[in-house]
Amino acid sequence: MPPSPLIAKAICVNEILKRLYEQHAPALLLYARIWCRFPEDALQEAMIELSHQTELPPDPVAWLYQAVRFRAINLHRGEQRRNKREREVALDRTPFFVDAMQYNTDAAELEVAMKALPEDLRGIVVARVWGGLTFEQIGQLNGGSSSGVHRRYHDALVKLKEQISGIPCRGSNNE
Amino acid sequence: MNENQFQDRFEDEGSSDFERRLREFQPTPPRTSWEDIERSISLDQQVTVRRTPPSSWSKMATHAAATLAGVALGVALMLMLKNDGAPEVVLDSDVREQVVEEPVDSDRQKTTLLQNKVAVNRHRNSSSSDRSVFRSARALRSGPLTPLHRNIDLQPWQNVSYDRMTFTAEPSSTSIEPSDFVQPMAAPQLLRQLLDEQSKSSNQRGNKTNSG
Repeated sequence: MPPSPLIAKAICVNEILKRLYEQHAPALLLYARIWCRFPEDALQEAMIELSHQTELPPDPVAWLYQAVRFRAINLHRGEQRRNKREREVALDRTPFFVDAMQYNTDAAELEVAMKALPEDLRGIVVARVWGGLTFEQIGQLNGGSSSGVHRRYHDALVKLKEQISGIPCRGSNNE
Repeated sequence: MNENQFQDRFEDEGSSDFERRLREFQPTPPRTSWEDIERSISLDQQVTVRRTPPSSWSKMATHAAATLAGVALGVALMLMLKNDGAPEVVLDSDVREQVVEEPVDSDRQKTTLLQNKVAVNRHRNSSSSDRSVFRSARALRSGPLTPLHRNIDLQPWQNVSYDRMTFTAEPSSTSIEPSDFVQPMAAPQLLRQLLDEQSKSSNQRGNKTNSG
Protein backbone atom coordinates (compact mmCIF):
# COMPACT_ATOMS: atom_id res chain seq x y z
CA MET A 1 0.00 0.00 0.00
CA PRO A 2 1.56 3.34 -1.03
CA PRO A 3 2.02 5.99 1.69
CA SER A 4 -0.41 8.91 1.87
CA PRO A 5 0.62 12.15 0.09
CA LEU A 6 1.39 13.85 3.41
CA ILE A 7 3.69 11.06 4.57
CA ALA A 8 5.33 10.92 1.14
CA LYS A 9 5.95 14.66 1.28
CA ALA A 10 7.40 14.34 4.79
CA ILE A 11 9.76 11.59 3.64
CA CYS A 12 10.79 13.70 0.66
CA VAL A 13 11.44 16.78 2.85
CA ASN A 14 13.40 14.63 5.27
CA GLU A 15 15.57 13.32 2.44
CA ILE A 16 16.26 16.84 1.17
CA LEU A 17 17.19 18.03 4.66
CA LYS A 18 19.47 15.05 5.14
CA ARG A 19 21.24 15.68 1.83
CA LEU A 20 21.61 19.39 2.59
CA TYR A 21 23.06 18.61 6.00
CA GLU A 22 25.49 16.01 4.76
CA GLN A 23 26.72 18.18 1.90
CA HIS A 24 26.92 21.57 3.59
CA ALA A 25 27.22 20.99 7.34
CA PRO A 26 31.04 21.36 7.55
CA ALA A 27 31.09 24.61 5.57
CA LEU A 28 28.07 25.93 7.47
CA LEU A 29 29.81 25.08 10.72
CA LEU A 30 32.87 27.01 9.58
CA TYR A 31 30.61 29.89 8.61
CA ALA A 32 28.93 29.90 12.04
CA ARG A 33 32.34 29.87 13.73
CA ILE A 34 32.89 33.43 12.51
CA TRP A 35 30.38 34.73 15.03
CA CYS A 36 29.94 32.23 17.84
CA ARG A 37 31.75 29.67 19.94
CA PHE A 38 28.97 27.08 19.68
CA PRO A 39 28.53 26.75 15.91
CA GLU A 40 26.87 23.34 16.15
CA ASP A 41 24.00 24.89 18.09
CA ALA A 42 23.55 27.52 15.38
CA LEU A 43 23.58 24.86 12.69
CA GLN A 44 21.13 22.62 14.54
CA GLU A 45 18.73 25.49 15.14
CA ALA A 46 18.94 26.50 11.49
CA MET A 47 18.12 22.94 10.40
CA ILE A 48 15.12 22.84 12.75
CA GLU A 49 13.99 26.20 11.41
CA LEU A 50 14.24 24.88 7.86
CA SER A 51 12.12 21.87 8.84
CA HIS A 52 9.41 24.29 10.08
CA GLN A 53 9.07 25.92 6.67
CA THR A 54 5.79 25.04 5.00
CA GLU A 55 7.47 25.37 1.60
CA LEU A 56 11.09 24.62 0.85
CA PRO A 57 12.90 27.95 0.09
CA PRO A 58 13.79 28.49 -3.58
CA ASP A 59 17.50 28.51 -2.70
CA PRO A 60 17.77 26.30 0.39
CA VAL A 61 21.59 26.50 0.59
CA ALA A 62 21.62 30.32 0.64
CA TRP A 63 18.67 30.22 3.04
CA LEU A 64 20.67 27.95 5.37
CA TYR A 65 23.68 30.27 5.28
CA GLN A 66 21.41 33.19 6.18
CA ALA A 67 19.72 31.24 8.98
CA VAL A 68 23.04 30.00 10.38
CA ARG A 69 24.38 33.53 10.33
CA PHE A 70 21.38 34.93 12.23
CA ARG A 71 21.47 32.09 14.73
CA ALA A 72 25.20 32.41 15.25
CA ILE A 73 24.92 36.17 15.84
CA ASN A 74 22.08 35.58 18.31
CA LEU A 75 24.08 32.92 20.09
CA HIS A 76 27.04 35.25 20.23
CA ARG A 77 24.89 37.90 21.90
CA GLY A 78 23.78 35.29 24.42
CA GLU A 79 27.37 34.28 24.99
CA GLN A 80 28.38 37.84 25.66
CA ARG A 81 25.84 38.02 28.45
CA ARG A 82 27.36 35.09 30.27
CA ASN A 83 30.18 35.65 32.68
CA LYS A 84 33.84 35.35 31.72
CA ARG A 85 34.50 32.15 33.62
CA GLU A 86 31.69 30.29 31.90
CA ARG A 87 33.03 31.34 28.53
CA GLU A 88 36.54 30.24 29.30
CA VAL A 89 35.37 26.83 30.49
CA ALA A 90 33.20 26.25 27.45
CA LEU A 91 35.73 27.61 24.99
CA ASP A 92 35.55 25.73 21.72
CA ARG A 93 39.00 24.29 20.95
CA THR A 94 37.97 22.43 17.81
CA PRO A 95 40.35 23.22 14.92
CA PHE A 96 38.90 24.94 11.89
CA PHE A 97 40.21 22.41 9.38
CA VAL A 98 41.15 18.77 9.12
CA ASP A 99 44.95 18.69 9.11
CA ALA A 100 46.33 18.65 5.58
CA MET A 101 50.02 17.84 5.93
CA GLN A 102 50.49 17.05 2.25
CA TYR A 103 50.52 20.78 1.49
CA ASN A 104 53.13 23.32 2.41
CA THR A 105 50.70 25.16 4.56
CA ASP A 106 49.13 23.20 7.33
CA ALA A 107 45.61 23.62 8.65
CA ALA A 108 46.69 25.44 11.79
CA GLU A 109 48.41 28.15 9.76
CA LEU A 110 45.31 28.60 7.64
CA GLU A 111 43.21 28.82 10.79
CA VAL A 112 45.42 31.57 12.15
CA ALA A 113 45.25 33.39 8.82
CA MET A 114 41.47 33.05 8.74
CA LYS A 115 41.14 34.36 12.27
CA ALA A 116 43.20 37.41 11.29
CA LEU A 117 40.66 38.36 8.62
CA PRO A 118 37.85 40.76 9.44
CA GLU A 119 34.49 39.04 10.07
CA ASP A 120 32.82 40.19 6.85
CA LEU A 121 35.74 39.05 4.68
CA ARG A 122 35.90 35.73 6.49
CA GLY A 123 32.20 35.21 5.82
CA ILE A 124 32.66 35.90 2.13
CA VAL A 125 35.64 33.51 1.84
CA VAL A 126 33.85 30.68 3.67
CA ALA A 127 30.63 31.11 1.70
CA ARG A 128 32.54 31.21 -1.60
CA VAL A 129 35.35 28.66 -1.12
CA TRP A 130 33.73 26.02 1.10
CA GLY A 131 30.03 26.87 0.66
CA GLY A 132 30.23 27.12 -3.13
CA LEU A 133 27.87 30.11 -3.19
CA THR A 134 27.96 32.49 -6.15
CA PHE A 135 28.92 36.14 -5.69
CA GLU A 136 25.31 37.08 -6.32
CA GLN A 137 24.11 34.77 -3.53
CA ILE A 138 26.73 36.15 -1.16
CA GLY A 139 25.70 39.66 -2.15
CA GLN A 140 22.11 38.87 -1.19
CA LEU A 141 23.33 37.34 2.04
CA ASN A 142 25.30 40.42 3.04
CA GLY A 143 23.06 43.00 1.39
CA GLY A 144 25.60 44.13 -1.22
CA SER A 145 26.21 43.96 -4.95
CA SER A 146 27.94 40.98 -6.56
CA SER A 147 30.77 43.21 -7.87
CA GLY A 148 31.35 44.60 -4.39
CA VAL A 149 31.42 41.09 -2.98
CA HIS A 150 33.92 40.04 -5.64
CA ARG A 151 36.21 42.94 -4.80
CA ARG A 152 36.14 42.11 -1.12
CA TYR A 153 36.66 38.41 -1.84
CA HIS A 154 39.74 39.24 -3.86
CA ASP A 155 41.06 41.43 -1.03
CA ALA A 156 40.43 38.62 1.44
CA LEU A 157 42.36 36.10 -0.67
CA VAL A 158 45.26 38.49 -0.99
CA LYS A 159 45.34 38.99 2.76
CA LEU A 160 45.17 35.25 3.34
CA LYS A 161 48.08 34.66 0.99
CA GLU A 162 50.10 37.27 2.79
CA GLN A 163 49.30 35.75 6.13
CA ILE A 164 50.27 32.27 5.03
CA SER A 165 53.40 32.95 2.97
CA GLY A 166 54.47 36.11 4.69
CA ILE A 167 55.16 37.72 1.32
CA PRO A 168 52.99 40.62 0.12
CA CYS A 169 51.08 39.63 -3.01
CA ARG A 170 50.55 41.41 -6.29
CA GLY A 171 47.33 43.45 -6.14
CA SER A 172 47.43 43.77 -2.38
CA ASN A 173 45.99 46.97 -0.92
CA ASN A 174 48.90 47.14 1.50
CA GLU A 175 51.44 47.50 -1.23
CA MET B 1 30.63 41.89 -14.65
CA ASN B 2 29.33 38.35 -14.57
CA GLU B 3 30.60 35.20 -12.84
CA ASN B 4 32.79 34.11 -15.79
CA GLN B 5 34.44 37.50 -16.01
CA PHE B 6 35.28 37.26 -12.33
CA GLN B 7 36.75 33.84 -12.92
CA ASP B 8 38.87 35.12 -15.81
CA ARG B 9 40.26 37.86 -13.66
CA PHE B 10 41.17 35.32 -11.03
CA GLU B 11 42.91 33.16 -13.58
CA ASP B 12 44.93 36.18 -14.64
CA GLU B 13 45.98 36.98 -11.14
CA GLY B 14 46.65 33.38 -10.18
CA SER B 15 43.93 33.54 -7.52
CA SER B 16 42.13 30.43 -8.77
CA ASP B 17 45.13 28.27 -7.85
CA PHE B 18 45.09 29.61 -4.38
CA GLU B 19 41.32 29.17 -4.26
CA ARG B 20 41.71 25.54 -5.31
CA ARG B 21 44.35 25.02 -2.65
CA LEU B 22 42.07 26.49 -0.06
CA ARG B 23 39.28 24.15 -1.13
CA GLU B 24 41.55 21.19 -0.45
CA PHE B 25 41.31 22.01 3.23
CA GLN B 26 38.22 20.33 4.48
CA PRO B 27 36.34 22.10 7.23
CA THR B 28 35.95 20.09 10.43
CA PRO B 29 32.67 18.15 10.23
CA PRO B 30 30.10 18.62 12.99
CA ARG B 31 30.07 16.18 15.90
CA THR B 32 26.29 16.09 15.61
CA SER B 33 25.17 13.39 13.20
CA TRP B 34 22.16 13.65 10.93
CA GLU B 35 20.33 11.18 13.20
CA ASP B 36 20.76 13.59 16.12
CA ILE B 37 19.43 16.46 14.05
CA GLU B 38 16.51 14.32 12.89
CA ARG B 39 15.70 13.40 16.49
CA SER B 40 15.78 17.02 17.60
CA ILE B 41 13.53 18.01 14.67
CA SER B 42 10.97 15.35 15.56
CA LEU B 43 11.09 16.35 19.25
CA ASP B 44 10.59 19.96 18.31
CA GLN B 45 7.65 19.04 16.10
CA GLN B 46 6.04 17.08 18.96
CA VAL B 47 6.33 20.12 21.22
CA THR B 48 4.87 22.33 18.52
CA VAL B 49 1.96 19.95 18.03
CA ARG B 50 1.26 19.98 21.76
CA ARG B 51 1.34 23.75 21.83
CA THR B 52 -1.16 24.24 19.03
CA PRO B 53 -4.74 22.89 19.08
CA PRO B 54 -5.00 19.70 17.03
CA SER B 55 -8.12 20.58 15.10
CA SER B 56 -10.39 23.42 14.13
CA TRP B 57 -13.10 22.67 16.69
CA SER B 58 -10.72 23.23 19.58
CA LYS B 59 -9.66 26.51 17.98
CA MET B 60 -13.33 27.49 17.82
CA ALA B 61 -13.86 26.44 21.44
CA THR B 62 -10.90 28.53 22.58
CA HIS B 63 -12.15 31.47 20.57
CA ALA B 64 -15.66 31.14 22.00
CA ALA B 65 -14.36 30.89 25.57
CA ALA B 66 -12.23 33.97 25.05
CA THR B 67 -15.20 35.87 23.62
CA LEU B 68 -17.44 34.86 26.55
CA ALA B 69 -14.78 35.87 29.03
CA GLY B 70 -14.46 39.23 27.29
CA VAL B 71 -18.20 39.84 27.36
CA ALA B 72 -18.41 38.86 31.04
CA LEU B 73 -15.54 41.19 31.85
CA GLY B 74 -17.22 44.02 29.96
CA VAL B 75 -20.51 43.54 31.81
CA ALA B 76 -18.70 43.39 35.15
CA LEU B 77 -16.83 46.59 34.33
CA MET B 78 -20.05 48.34 33.32
CA LEU B 79 -21.71 47.30 36.58
CA MET B 80 -18.70 48.43 38.57
CA LEU B 81 -18.66 51.79 36.84
CA LYS B 82 -22.37 52.20 37.40
CA ASN B 83 -22.06 51.46 41.12
CA ASP B 84 -19.02 53.62 41.51
CA GLY B 85 -20.56 56.60 39.73
CA ALA B 86 -23.76 56.65 41.77
CA PRO B 87 -23.08 55.51 45.34
CA GLU B 88 -25.99 53.79 46.94
CA VAL B 89 -26.73 52.98 50.55
CA VAL B 90 -28.46 49.72 51.28
CA LEU B 91 -30.92 50.11 54.08
CA ASP B 92 -32.21 47.54 56.49
CA SER B 93 -35.97 47.16 56.58
CA ASP B 94 -36.37 48.84 59.98
CA VAL B 95 -34.09 51.69 59.02
CA ARG B 96 -35.94 52.10 55.75
CA GLU B 97 -39.23 52.34 57.63
CA GLN B 98 -37.71 54.87 59.96
CA VAL B 99 -36.51 56.91 57.05
CA VAL B 100 -39.83 56.72 55.32
CA GLU B 101 -41.68 57.70 58.46
CA GLU B 102 -39.43 60.64 59.03
CA PRO B 103 -40.94 63.82 57.59
CA VAL B 104 -38.89 65.18 54.72
CA ASP B 105 -40.51 68.50 54.46
CA SER B 106 -37.88 70.86 55.72
CA ASP B 107 -36.51 73.27 53.16
CA ARG B 108 -32.97 72.88 54.40
CA GLN B 109 -33.02 69.13 53.84
CA LYS B 110 -34.33 69.50 50.31
CA THR B 111 -31.69 72.09 49.57
CA THR B 112 -28.93 69.84 50.90
CA LEU B 113 -30.07 66.91 48.81
CA LEU B 114 -30.20 69.06 45.72
CA GLN B 115 -26.74 70.42 46.45
CA ASN B 116 -25.40 66.91 46.84
CA LYS B 117 -26.87 65.81 43.52
CA VAL B 118 -25.36 68.80 41.77
CA ALA B 119 -22.09 68.14 43.55
CA VAL B 120 -21.93 64.54 42.39
CA ASN B 121 -22.60 65.52 38.80
CA ARG B 122 -20.02 68.26 38.95
CA HIS B 123 -17.51 65.88 40.46
CA ARG B 124 -17.94 63.39 37.66
CA ASN B 125 -16.99 66.02 35.14
CA SER B 126 -14.16 67.60 37.14
CA SER B 127 -10.44 66.99 37.32
CA SER B 128 -8.64 65.74 40.43
CA SER B 129 -7.41 69.22 41.40
CA ASP B 130 -10.93 70.55 41.03
CA ARG B 131 -12.14 67.75 43.24
CA SER B 132 -9.90 68.63 46.18
CA VAL B 133 -11.01 72.26 46.06
CA PHE B 134 -14.54 71.13 45.59
CA ARG B 135 -14.36 68.80 48.59
CA SER B 136 -13.28 71.66 50.84
CA ALA B 137 -16.05 73.89 49.56
CA ARG B 138 -18.57 71.14 50.01
CA ALA B 139 -17.41 70.49 53.58
CA LEU B 140 -17.87 74.16 54.44
CA ARG B 141 -21.23 74.36 52.78
CA SER B 142 -22.92 71.20 53.94
CA GLY B 143 -22.58 71.60 57.70
CA PRO B 144 -24.11 68.97 59.98
CA LEU B 145 -25.92 66.02 58.49
CA THR B 146 -29.60 66.22 57.87
CA PRO B 147 -32.01 64.04 59.87
CA LEU B 148 -32.55 61.76 56.90
CA HIS B 149 -28.88 60.75 56.78
CA ARG B 150 -28.34 60.72 60.49
CA ASN B 151 -30.56 57.73 61.03
CA ILE B 152 -28.77 55.53 58.50
CA ASP B 153 -26.47 53.13 60.24
CA LEU B 154 -24.01 51.78 57.66
CA GLN B 155 -22.44 48.37 57.77
CA PRO B 156 -18.62 48.26 58.08
CA TRP B 157 -18.20 47.23 54.48
CA GLN B 158 -20.22 50.21 53.46
CA ASN B 159 -17.76 52.59 55.04
CA VAL B 160 -17.16 55.21 52.47
CA SER B 161 -15.13 58.37 52.58
CA TYR B 162 -15.47 61.79 51.06
CA ASP B 163 -12.59 60.89 48.79
CA ARG B 164 -14.95 58.62 46.90
CA MET B 165 -17.42 61.49 46.84
CA THR B 166 -20.13 59.77 48.80
CA PHE B 167 -22.26 62.56 50.02
CA THR B 168 -25.20 60.67 51.32
CA ALA B 169 -23.69 58.98 54.35
CA GLU B 170 -20.84 58.82 56.82
CA PRO B 171 -19.19 55.69 58.29
CA SER B 172 -21.12 54.07 61.11
CA SER B 173 -18.34 54.74 63.60
CA THR B 174 -18.99 58.44 63.32
CA SER B 175 -22.77 58.23 63.15
CA ILE B 176 -24.51 60.99 65.01
CA GLU B 177 -27.44 60.32 67.28
CA PRO B 178 -30.52 62.51 67.09
CA SER B 179 -30.08 63.38 70.77
CA ASP B 180 -26.86 65.21 69.96
CA PHE B 181 -28.83 67.89 68.23
CA VAL B 182 -32.46 67.57 69.21
CA GLN B 183 -33.41 68.39 72.80
CA PRO B 184 -37.10 67.46 73.18
CA MET B 185 -37.31 68.80 76.74
CA ALA B 186 -35.69 72.11 75.96
CA ALA B 187 -38.86 73.97 75.00
CA PRO B 188 -40.93 73.19 78.17
CA GLN B 189 -37.97 74.00 80.40
CA LEU B 190 -37.37 77.27 78.65
CA LEU B 191 -41.06 78.02 78.82
CA ARG B 192 -41.10 77.23 82.51
CA GLN B 193 -38.08 79.44 83.05
CA LEU B 194 -39.71 82.27 81.14
CA LEU B 195 -42.94 81.84 83.11
CA ASP B 196 -40.95 81.82 86.34
CA GLU B 197 -39.11 84.95 85.37
CA GLN B 198 -42.36 86.59 84.31
CA SER B 199 -44.05 85.65 87.56
CA LYS B 200 -41.04 86.89 89.52
CA SER B 201 -40.99 90.18 87.69
CA SER B 202 -44.75 90.59 88.07
CA ASN B 203 -44.44 89.81 91.76
CA GLN B 204 -41.70 92.37 92.11
CA ARG B 205 -43.76 94.88 90.18
CA GLY B 206 -46.78 94.13 92.47
CA ASN B 207 -44.66 94.52 95.52
CA LYS B 208 -43.41 97.87 94.29
CA THR B 209 -46.94 99.11 93.59
CA ASN B 210 -48.13 97.85 96.93
CA SER B 211 -45.26 99.52 98.71
CA GLY B 212 -45.75 102.69 96.66
